[in-house]
Amino acid sequence: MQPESIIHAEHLTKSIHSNGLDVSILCDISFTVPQSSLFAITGPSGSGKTTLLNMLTGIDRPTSGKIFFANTEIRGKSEDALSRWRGKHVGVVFQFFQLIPTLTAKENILLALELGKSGAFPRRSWSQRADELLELTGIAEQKNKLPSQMSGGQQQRTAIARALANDPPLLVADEPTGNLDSHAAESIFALFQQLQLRGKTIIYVTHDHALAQRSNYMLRLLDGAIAEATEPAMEGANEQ
Amino acid sequence: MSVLMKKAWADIMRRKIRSLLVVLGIMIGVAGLTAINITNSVIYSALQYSSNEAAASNAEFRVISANEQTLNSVKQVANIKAAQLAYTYNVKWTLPSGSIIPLQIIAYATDSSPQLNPYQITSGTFPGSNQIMLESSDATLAPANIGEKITLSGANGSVQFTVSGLTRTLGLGSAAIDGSATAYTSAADIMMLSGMTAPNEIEVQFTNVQNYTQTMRSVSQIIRASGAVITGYSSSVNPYDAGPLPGLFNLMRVLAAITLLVTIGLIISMISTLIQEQKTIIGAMKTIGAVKTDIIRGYLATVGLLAMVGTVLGLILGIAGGYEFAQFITTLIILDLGPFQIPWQPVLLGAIIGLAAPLAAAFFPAWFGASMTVKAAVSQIGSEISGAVSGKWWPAQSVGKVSQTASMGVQSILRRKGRALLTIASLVISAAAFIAVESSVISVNASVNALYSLYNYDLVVTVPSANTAGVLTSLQNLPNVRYAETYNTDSLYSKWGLISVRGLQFDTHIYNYQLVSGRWFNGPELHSAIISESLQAKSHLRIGDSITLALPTGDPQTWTIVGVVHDISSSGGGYSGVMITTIQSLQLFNASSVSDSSFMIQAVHRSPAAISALQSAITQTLASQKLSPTIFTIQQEKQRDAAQFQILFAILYVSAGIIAFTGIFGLANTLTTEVLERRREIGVLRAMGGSSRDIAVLFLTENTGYILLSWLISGLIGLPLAIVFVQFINDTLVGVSFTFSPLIFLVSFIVLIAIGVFAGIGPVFAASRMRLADILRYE
Repeated sequence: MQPESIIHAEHLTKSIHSNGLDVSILCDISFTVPQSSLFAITGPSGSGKTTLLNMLTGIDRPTSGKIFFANTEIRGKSEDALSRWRGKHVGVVFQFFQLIPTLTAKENILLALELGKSGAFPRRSWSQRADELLELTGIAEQKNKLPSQMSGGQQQRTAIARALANDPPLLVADEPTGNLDSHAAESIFALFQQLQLRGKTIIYVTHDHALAQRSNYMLRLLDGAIAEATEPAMEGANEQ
Repeated sequence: MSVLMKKAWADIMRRKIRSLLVVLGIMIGVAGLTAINITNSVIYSALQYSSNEAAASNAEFRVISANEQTLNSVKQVANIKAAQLAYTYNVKWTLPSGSIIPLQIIAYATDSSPQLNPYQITSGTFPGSNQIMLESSDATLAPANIGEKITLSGANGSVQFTVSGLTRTLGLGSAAIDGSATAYTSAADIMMLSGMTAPNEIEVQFTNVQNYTQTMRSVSQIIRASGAVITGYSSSVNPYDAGPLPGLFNLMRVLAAITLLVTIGLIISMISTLIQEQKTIIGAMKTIGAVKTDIIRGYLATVGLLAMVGTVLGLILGIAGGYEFAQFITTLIILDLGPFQIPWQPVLLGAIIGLAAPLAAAFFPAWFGASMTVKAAVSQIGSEISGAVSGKWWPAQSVGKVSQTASMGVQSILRRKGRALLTIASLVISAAAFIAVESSVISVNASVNALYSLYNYDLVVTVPSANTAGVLTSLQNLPNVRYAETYNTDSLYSKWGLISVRGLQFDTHIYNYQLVSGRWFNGPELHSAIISESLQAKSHLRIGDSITLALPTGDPQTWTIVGVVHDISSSGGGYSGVMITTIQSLQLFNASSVSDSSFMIQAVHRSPAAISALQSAITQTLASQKLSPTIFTIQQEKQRDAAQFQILFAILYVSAGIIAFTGIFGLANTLTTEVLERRREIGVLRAMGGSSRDIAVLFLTENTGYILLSWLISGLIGLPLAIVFVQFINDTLVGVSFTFSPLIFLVSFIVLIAIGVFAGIGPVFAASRMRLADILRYE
């Protein structure tokens, strides 16, 4: 049976006008992201990975084509509507974490709950929710530390916990291990796998071929077009 | 506390120095505004007491043979609200130093405070026999304590009185203003001193001051009809102008508004910088669900917290500073401020502006920051804010004659154009304010000196009820007298406002008339007049036109204008200008109301000692003729003028100082922000071998660039602003014409250099002392 999709992209193109020339960044890209999957987007620098990721989260808009989130098209929403949508449905994780430097790990999570106007969690349970996420991501002992007092791996775990604050079904990560050592990168990926088992869908951009190979689905971009769309995990299973 | 509020507080605590600068900026702005308004309010309240028209008489008729019956007739005249009889007598108060002060003694039939011009005993008691109660502002001329004996000389010789108390009279201006003291005795003592046997003044108050002329005529007719004789009159009514006070306070309000403007610019600069710095944080917040209102709310919370602290501190400083400044002013003009009380309006205004202005100033930068798309924000994530300029406008790098660090410093100025614009605007306003203030001080001093040389006398002698020709001969025959001339003055209302009318000798040597057009008097012409340029500008009268004026107690007279002179006396502060006629013409016109003879004297030897000796000689000569003259020397007038202008100059310099302070904090904030923003750049320079000196050169060049640019712009706009400012002083306060001095550009340059040094020393030092390890650890 074909798994149900959470994201469906149809004929996405993106071009920008620069120095009098039209530069094409993405050309006619179509794909589907199944629910509860680990979905890797990979490719060399300048292939359009981050642009594609930004369009999936509503941060950027396609020049043409459509994006459906749970069968609902996200085009036409205002900036504020997209912010609210992300707050509820999408958790975003950056390569450089982008934690609020003046807030502790726990406060960063609480901020996401406050901004997301979390319907799933009543205000009185926010503190408990933040503690659970800190526990889940393995940084409970760091909860009162500022980002500058934590290691890169701990900061990324905090960022993941923050992204999960409003219990979104989709987690999107741009080079989540790009700024971490191999040990920290491994533990972050293990966390992604753990989240997948809990039913989350994780889309991540990576340069790391080995990490991409551990996904359920992989999309390799080259010069703005899909060079390869595979199911490495299935391949691995078949090989086994 | 919500997490957004925690973030707002954390943002404040994270950048402590910048937060401190924001708080100081708001504090200085609020303190300056509040101090000016508190001073304004406190002084105005005190002056309102001394210029209160509610219970003050509007006119005083000097009379002979007036009695209760006369008074009752006057009370029946239409538009007369109240009238009373009084005894007034002018004496000389001889100080232990030998100098003499004119003193007007007032007495009423009863010992209680009168209905009109009521007084309030502030210390001591009402005078008994041989006792006197001094007006408290007399202390500006001669301090005298209760129990002290003072010597007064009248027609019946010298008498010693003991000071029994001090008083302040409602509606009476400070003694410093006209150099004449006021005191009260019992009716018996004033009659003993003067020899008079009945009240010699009828004081009246009008229901409607706009019917001034008609009412004065009616009262004059009634007094004469009752058999009494009018020997003169005086009036405090000017239906066209409320005096110089509103002008002074309008001036202060203009300065407060400029301070506020600079403060708002400073706040906009600070908040724009904060938001610019937090672009990536805004992006991160938007990706986790923040909408525009969340972002705006967060930054307004930050600004609100800073504004609260700055406003509270500013209000405390402003209240204390304002009251201190008010007390300083009262030491110059001696005013009773009354019990300490904080006027609530300036405090409320300061609080509203201190809280609202930063929030309003922050709103637009916050709005624009919050409107930034996530894409625009996240495009900066992971990379340093660049914002570099192209460098095409600055050829130094290619020329290679300027060091790279200095070149970077110059380029920094246009790196953030909006911030640079606000910083330069704030510095330009600071420098332009100083140019305006300095020009005003120079212009006022020049105008006063020009007036002294226009009316080139050393002494002014006034003799009541004298044979004018005889006294003039006596004066002319005294040693050290070069010229002695009679003169006469009056103030008359016209459809163009109040006109100062002066009667001068046609062959005057003391009035150095500066004819602009037409001619001077050919002889003792009776129907010719010369007007000042300011009066011509207001009236549009030309040579050959006629001007008709009327005394409130007499018939109208018409003069033909034969010339126009440059004479800025009485061209401001409520006067429309000067009309000069011959002494013969004016004496014919106002003989019924002016009984005093006045003389201007120019000495051969003009040193203060020689003038003082001449003053004594005049007193002795006229005393031998049983005359009691009032004599003012030019030194006394200069001292009196200096005391008045000291207040104006103090206000101007304090306001300019406050504006300069906001300029210092504006520049310091910009440089501090530049240092914070460019830590990585400093780190790179350090890593490449840059010394502390190289880093200091970078920021010092930027600092110097701001100063030079601001100086050039302030030079361009400062001068027209100064002309407008001096004109404003002329229109509202005192007759003054603009005097240009190149010195003002030097002064503004020194002021800007001082601002640059004070503003730059901290940030430049901090940047040059930054350690590479600290920079790399940053965030």
